[in-house]
Amino acid sequence: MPYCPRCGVEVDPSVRACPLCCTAIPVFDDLGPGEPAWPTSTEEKALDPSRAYASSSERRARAFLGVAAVFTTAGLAVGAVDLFTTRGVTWSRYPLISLAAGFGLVASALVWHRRPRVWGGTWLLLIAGLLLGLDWADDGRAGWFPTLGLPLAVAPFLLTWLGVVLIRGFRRRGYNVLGVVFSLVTVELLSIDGVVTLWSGQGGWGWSMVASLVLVPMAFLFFFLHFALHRTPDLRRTFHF
Amino acid sequence: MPASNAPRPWMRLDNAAKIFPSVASDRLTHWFRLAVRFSTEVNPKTLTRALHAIVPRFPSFRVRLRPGFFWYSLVEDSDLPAVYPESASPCMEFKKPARGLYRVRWFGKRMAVEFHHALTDGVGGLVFLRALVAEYLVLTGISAQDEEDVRRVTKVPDTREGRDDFQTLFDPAFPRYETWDKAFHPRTELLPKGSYAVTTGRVPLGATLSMARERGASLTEFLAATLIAAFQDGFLALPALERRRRARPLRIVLPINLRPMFDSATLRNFFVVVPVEIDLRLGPYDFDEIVRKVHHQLQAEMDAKLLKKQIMRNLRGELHPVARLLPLPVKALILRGVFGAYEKRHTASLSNLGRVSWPPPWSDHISDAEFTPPPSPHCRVNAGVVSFGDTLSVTFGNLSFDPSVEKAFFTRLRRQGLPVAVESNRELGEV
Repeated sequence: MPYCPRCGVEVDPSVRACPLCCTAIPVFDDLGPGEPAWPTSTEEKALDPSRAYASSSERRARAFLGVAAVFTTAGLAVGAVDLFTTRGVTWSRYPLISLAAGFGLVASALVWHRRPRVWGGTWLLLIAGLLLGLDWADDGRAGWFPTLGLPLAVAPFLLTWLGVVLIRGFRRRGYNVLGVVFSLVTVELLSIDGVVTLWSGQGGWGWSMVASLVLVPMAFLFFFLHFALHRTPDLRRTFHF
Repeated sequence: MPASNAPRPWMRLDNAAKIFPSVASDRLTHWFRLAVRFSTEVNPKTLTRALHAIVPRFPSFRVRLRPGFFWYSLVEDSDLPAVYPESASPCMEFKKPARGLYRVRWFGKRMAVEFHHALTDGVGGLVFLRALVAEYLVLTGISAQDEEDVRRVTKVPDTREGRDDFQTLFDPAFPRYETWDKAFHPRTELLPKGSYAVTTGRVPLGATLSMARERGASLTEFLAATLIAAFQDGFLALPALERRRRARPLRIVLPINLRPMFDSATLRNFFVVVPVEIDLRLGPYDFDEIVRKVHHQLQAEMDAKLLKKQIMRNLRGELHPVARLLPLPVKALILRGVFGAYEKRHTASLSNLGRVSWPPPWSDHISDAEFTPPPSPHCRVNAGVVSFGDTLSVTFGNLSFDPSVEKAFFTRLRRQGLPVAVESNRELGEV
C-alpha cells in the first residue's frame, strides 16, 4: 500500500492525499488505482473539503462591512436631502431610525449567527427600540409605545420561540406542526386584538374571536389527524410513566 | 376493527435509552455503526435475504420508536427491513426517517449495520452483526461445522434478551454519585449538518497489545492514554494565553459493558461510562505518566459497587415522581439541558468492543471489522475500537473540520513503531 511521506501511515491506493495531514501521496503505477473505501461525492452527500481551511469569520466580516456601507450611504443620502430641502432634520428622523434598526438587525444576525437565542433577543430589543424611536420622533416623548408598541413587539417573539421549541421537540413531524402553527396564530391574533382594543380604551376582543372560531377547530383537526387517526391509540403505551 | 389497526405490542425504553430520543438532533443522532469487510463483493440481494431470515431471531430489534404522553416507547414493527447503499456520511438521520432503529448498508466488499442507541448498545449490536454475517455467508454457500455462540435463526430467542436489566439493580439505599467538573474541549468548526467525518486506522493487534503490556496496561488503557496524549498535543499547540484560559481536566469516558459483571443476557443497553483524566492545569504529562494514571484510575473505577452507584443516579432520574409526571415535550426540554451539561463534562469517549470473531470457515471470508461511534456536536471527536483476527481497528467519528486529534493519535502510534493503515471519508485529496 502507498504511505504518507509526512506522517508515515499507510493509505488506500485510491487516495491522492493523506486523510490526516493532506500531504500528496506518491503515485506508484504498479499498485493500480485501488478500490475506494467510501462512496464518491456524486453518489451521496459528501464532505466539502474547501471549507476545511476557509474562515467563516472573514466572510462574515466582509459581509458586515458591505452591509454597513449600504446602510451608511442610504442614511447619509436621506439626511442630506432633508438638510438641503428643509434646512434641518425633520422628516428624515423616521427613515434614519428605521435604517439604524435595520442595520442592527442584519449586523446582529451576522455577528451572532451561531447563537440564534442571542440574536433573537437582540432583534426583540431592536424592534422594540425602533417602535420607541418612532414614537419619540413624533413628539419627543413615549406616548403609545408602552401600552401598544411594546406588547405588540414582544408577543410574536414569545410565540415564535414557543412554536420553535414545541416543533423541534416533536420526534415525528406532520400535521402536528400545522396544529401548533394554527394554535399560535390564534393566540397572536387574540393578543393583537386585545392590546389594540385596550389601548383605544374599549377593552375586550372583537374580530379576533371570529378568527379564533375558524382557527381553533382547524388546530384541533390537525392534532386529531396527527395523533388519533394514525393508529388506534394504545392508552397504556401512550400514558405509561 | 380491522386487524391492522389493533394496538401493537410495545415495551418501555431501557434506562440508558430513555434520554436518547428526547435529546436527538440533526447532529446528535445517537446512531452508531458496526461494519465488516468481506474478501469478495457484497451481494445486496443475498444480504437482504439474510437480513429477513434473522429478523425473527431478534424480536427485541423488530421495533420502532413511538412518542407517548410521558415517555417514548418501542412498538413492534411488522415491516421487513430494507438494505441501503452506503452513504458518504454514516450514522446520520435519514431525511425521511426510516421506520426501524437499525439499517443495513453495503458498499463494495463492506457490509455495515447502523443501530440507534435507543435500541441497543455496541455489544448488543455485535451479537446482531455476527448473526447477520453468519446468515449471509450461509446463503452464499459457506457453512460452518461448529457455529460456536453465533445466534443462528435455528436457535430460539432467549426472553432475557429483551429485558431492561438496569431495573433489576435498583437499590434506593445507594448514595448519590458525584458529578464531574467541566472538561477541556478543543475549539473547532462544525461540519455542515448531515456530514460526519470518519477516519479508521488499522494496526496489528498483537504488536499493540505487547506495547501496552510492556507498560503494564491493558489495550483499552493504552489506547485511552494515547487519545489523551493526542488531545494534550492539541492543547499544548495553543498560544500561551489561550492555554491558560482553556486549561481544564482532559477527561475521556470509557463505556463499560455491565453484562459479565451483573450476569445479564440482555441485547438492550446495559453499560455505564467511567472517566479517566489528566488535569491540564497541572502542566504537561509525558506518555508514560498518562498510561500510569489511566491504568490506576480505570482499575479504581472498575468496581461493581461504584458502577452500581452510577446506575442508581440514572435510575433515580427516571423514577423521580416529578420527572415521571412531566409531559414528554417538557421532559425533552429538561433532558436536553441535562444532556448538554453532561456532555460538557468530558472531552471525548473511547469505546472498545473487544475482539469479534466468527468460527472458521466464516472467518476466512472476513478481512476486518470497524466500529464507528455515534456523532456528538458537544464532544466532537470520539473513538470506537474493535479487533478481528490480528487487526485492531480504531475509528474516529468527528463532527468538525479539524482532523488534528486523529492525526496526533495515529502518528503517535506510528512513532512507536506500529504500522498504521488509514482510510477516511474526508475528501482532503484535493491538494
